[in-house]
Amino acid sequence: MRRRIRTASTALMTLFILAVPVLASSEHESGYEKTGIADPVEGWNHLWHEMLWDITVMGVIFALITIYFMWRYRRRFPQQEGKQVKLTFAGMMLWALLPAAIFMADDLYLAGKTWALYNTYRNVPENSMEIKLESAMWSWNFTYPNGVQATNELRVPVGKPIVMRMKSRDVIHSFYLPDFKVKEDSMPGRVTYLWFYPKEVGEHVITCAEFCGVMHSNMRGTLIIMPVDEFNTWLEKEKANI
Amino acid sequence: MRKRVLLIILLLLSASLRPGDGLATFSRTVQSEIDPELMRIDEDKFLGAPIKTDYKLIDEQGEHFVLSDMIRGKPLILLLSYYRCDGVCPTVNRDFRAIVQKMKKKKLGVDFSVLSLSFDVDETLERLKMFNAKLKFPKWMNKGWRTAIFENDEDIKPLTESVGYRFFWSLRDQMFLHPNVFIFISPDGRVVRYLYGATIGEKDVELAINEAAFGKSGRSKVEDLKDLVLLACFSYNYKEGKYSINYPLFIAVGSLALGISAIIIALIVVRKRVRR
Amino acid sequence: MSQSVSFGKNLSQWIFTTDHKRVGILYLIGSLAAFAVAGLMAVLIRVELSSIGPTITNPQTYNVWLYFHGAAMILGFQIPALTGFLANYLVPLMIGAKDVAFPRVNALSLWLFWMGIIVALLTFVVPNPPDFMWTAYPPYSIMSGGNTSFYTFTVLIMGFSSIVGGINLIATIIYMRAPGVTWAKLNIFVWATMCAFILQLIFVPVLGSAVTLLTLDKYLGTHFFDPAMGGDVLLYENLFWFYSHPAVYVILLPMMGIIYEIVATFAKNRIFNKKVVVFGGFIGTTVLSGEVWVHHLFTSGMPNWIRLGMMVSTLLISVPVGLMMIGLVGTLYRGAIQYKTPMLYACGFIFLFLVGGLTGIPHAMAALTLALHDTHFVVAHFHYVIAVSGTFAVFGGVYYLFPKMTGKMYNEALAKLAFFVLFIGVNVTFFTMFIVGLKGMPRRYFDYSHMPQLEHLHKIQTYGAFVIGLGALLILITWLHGAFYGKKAPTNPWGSRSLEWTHTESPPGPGNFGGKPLDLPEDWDPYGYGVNPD
Repeated sequence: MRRRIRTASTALMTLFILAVPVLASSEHESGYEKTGIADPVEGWNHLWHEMLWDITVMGVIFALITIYFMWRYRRRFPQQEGKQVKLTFAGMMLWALLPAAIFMADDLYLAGKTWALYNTYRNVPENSMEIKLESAMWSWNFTYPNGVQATNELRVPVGKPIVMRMKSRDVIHSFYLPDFKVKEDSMPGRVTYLWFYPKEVGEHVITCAEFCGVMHSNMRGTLIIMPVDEFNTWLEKEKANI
Repeated sequence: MRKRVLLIILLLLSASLRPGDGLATFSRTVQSEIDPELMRIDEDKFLGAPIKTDYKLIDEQGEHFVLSDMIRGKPLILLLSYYRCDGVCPTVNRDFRAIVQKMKKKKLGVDFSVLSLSFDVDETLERLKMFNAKLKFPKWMNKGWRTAIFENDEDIKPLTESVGYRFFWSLRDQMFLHPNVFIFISPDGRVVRYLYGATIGEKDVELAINEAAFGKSGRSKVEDLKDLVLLACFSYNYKEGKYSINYPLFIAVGSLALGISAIIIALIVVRKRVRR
Repeated sequence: MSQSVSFGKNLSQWIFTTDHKRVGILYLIGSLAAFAVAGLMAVLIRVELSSIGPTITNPQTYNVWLYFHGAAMILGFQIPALTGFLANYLVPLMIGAKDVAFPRVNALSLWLFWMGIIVALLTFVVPNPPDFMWTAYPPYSIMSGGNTSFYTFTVLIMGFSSIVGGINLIATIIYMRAPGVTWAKLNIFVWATMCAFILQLIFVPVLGSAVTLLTLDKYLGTHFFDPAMGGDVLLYENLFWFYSHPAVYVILLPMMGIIYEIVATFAKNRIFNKKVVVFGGFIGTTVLSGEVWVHHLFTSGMPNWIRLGMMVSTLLISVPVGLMMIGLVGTLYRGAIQYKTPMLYACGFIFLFLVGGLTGIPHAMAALTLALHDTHFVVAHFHYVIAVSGTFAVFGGVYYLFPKMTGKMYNEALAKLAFFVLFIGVNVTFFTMFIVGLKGMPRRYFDYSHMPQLEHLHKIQTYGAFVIGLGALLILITWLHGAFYGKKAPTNPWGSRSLEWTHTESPPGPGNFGGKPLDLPEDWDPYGYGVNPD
């Protein structure tokens, strides 16, 4: 009997252990690509899929075992009672430390991967443009380095990393760019930041992710990524209008 | 207060009537808005703002250096003054020197540097030397505290504007009107905190240095953790311009202790009752 | 005439009861009332979100619904049902005590709970109900026109009730075990309850002080959380989650405990690796619970390295929780599983909790959270892991104890039908919610006209919500039918070995064990199934 449980446990553990290195093959978890600018979105997608594999494999193994047990050990006749194996001390410790070790290994593995990507997210690239954001109930106010201001419409040149330096005039808001997989709260009395990399020309949604009152769901904006010349012309024109 | 407002208004009026005279640095907006708060720094706008650090400066030894030399790896306290001043500026510098000398937890030259910098276009090296001599720095302070002037006068405006610092030449008093503010700049070249002249003590300075240095690369995590505790215990009070105790934290820690002691006391009491 | 007199007498006996079983049942009734109203709010919220633009209400009312749904489900349903009803009802029976250590204090905790329920329900009566969500972050909760004091009072009253009940039950567990009920033989639910109450006692005062300061700020003009006056908004968030994350484990531990009881009873099997489950799982979770709260603030401007540190501690929670899950599935191993309704809920729980637990991992990973935080993905995650799992545990527990509480049997077929309706409903609703969240739908939104591509997914969720509502109604019908027309229940319908089934009547009389001192044999074990294997 004890042998049986040991075989079962060894098989289970082997599966778990195999799952980890299979998932470990990854080159660009920090999202660096050939241009030299790290793109957090790419890193995010990569890490997300890796994590999804990880939890899916674990979840499916666990669920299959559960379903098998549920079917295999159904009651065959009334008065039948279970015959749980009595674990020895060594067995008990094995069943405590081995899963713990596997979970911890997986945790630390994921933590390590996250660390790399997280640093990409939080370390702003050198050549980025800094735009100030003041959020207020219920609008986003942007100030460009040359003093040009805009509300709810954030125009940026393509190919230049953008840093948002954020404050709030009233309550806590959260600047969320769903397509760029990033958000950060803006709050009164503290300065926070986030950066993103507009790679292609296009329009994206800006939306508030921290509950900020009645019109919370109407606190939106548009991120417009423009070709560089067009952006410069626009900026000059706006500057002249001040 | 009202007198001073009146004074400023008069000054501004007289200045607007006679342009040209020592007014190179006069702000353009002055004529349109006459506001006693004109010199107030709009902290909301400038906190967290990056400043350029490639300004060329000359120190009291006549040595040329760049601003970024001063903020390499440690926070910088920027003290804008002008050296002709025979009133407030030397006093502020001297008071601050006393504060720095008294500070125990943060050491000048080790944990932070100080830069006294003149915003006066007419500044000369001689005046700088005299000013520095008047302050009578002890020798050990020379390394961490430099008094300096700009190499190029055109640099004055960009720097002062980038930290929101405004000043005016008063014709009547033949002096600059300017805020007495200590600007704390983080090792990555951003404005972290403004502290104002007369109100502060060494505790405030230490906390502001903590804030400027906190979480920057190259610091040990142990140091960061110590700072974190300190910064959690105090928070900056914009209204009073100094740090005040963060009461909710202490109340919360107190209630946590209450929770834990409630368990212990209850168990002891119950144990006695059950034994009886 | 005489009937009404006896009814009145009966009623006053119930109201002024100090009997732990009646206290437990009254806790159940109160928490189910909260569940019903908060559940109704949930359906209304889903209807509102079923189409773009205002559907049935305005944002102001919608925010009040959201507030009530969150606050009432957590403070009014989950915590009282798991630590109030189940703990009060089961713990003295399981340890062979005739009542709790301080019966009258127990009644006080019940009254406080009911007061809390009433104050919470007043949300719908007062002119300016709270509209700042159950988290009540300042400065909004201070600036809002909503009535912050109602929120504060609800939290304080419920918290006080829970502290009083907690001290009482911890004392009961430590000092009132019958001879023979040793620590090693203690039911696993009792262990879980004790860990939950220890957490509650340590952390509730912190939340209490935080919300009190909030009220002072709002009504007495203090500046504890006013950033312009030296306050710190981030501090409130920290204090709030310093309690409210452990509160998740206050819910998790008893629900694991009751599921273990159900699984052991219906698999007629010993618990797999019980010591490791208790010391590694329960106590491990208790110890870790206070060190992970910053994962709620991963996008709130906390220093970067603190986020990374708390990411690791959060991921490590998977170790104790994993041990609990292995123990749970291990208990099925070589069992003799009989699929009665409580067991269906337990099995459903395993799968729901699995989905919820595993989807917690991306939230712990600080970089992935930057996109997922405060979206419907989080909402789906915590509904799976706490809300639905906890509800399944409570419902499973009610079915499990139904014969003991009422002395009658419920209708098995109807109960099973209700289970499947509920199970399908929650999966339709909350699995779709994962997808919506992943596509960027922020939570607490009244409208999503800038994300029109999500409308059909929202519709599916709303249909799911109706299915859940139908399931809940069927369950209510099953219970009422069982309580009034059910067949008489035997004392031990499930064939359990635990004290509450083997040594008491159904329902147990005053004093639980008929006044006789318990005489447990040397080899007594609440899980002593299959004594002679092979």
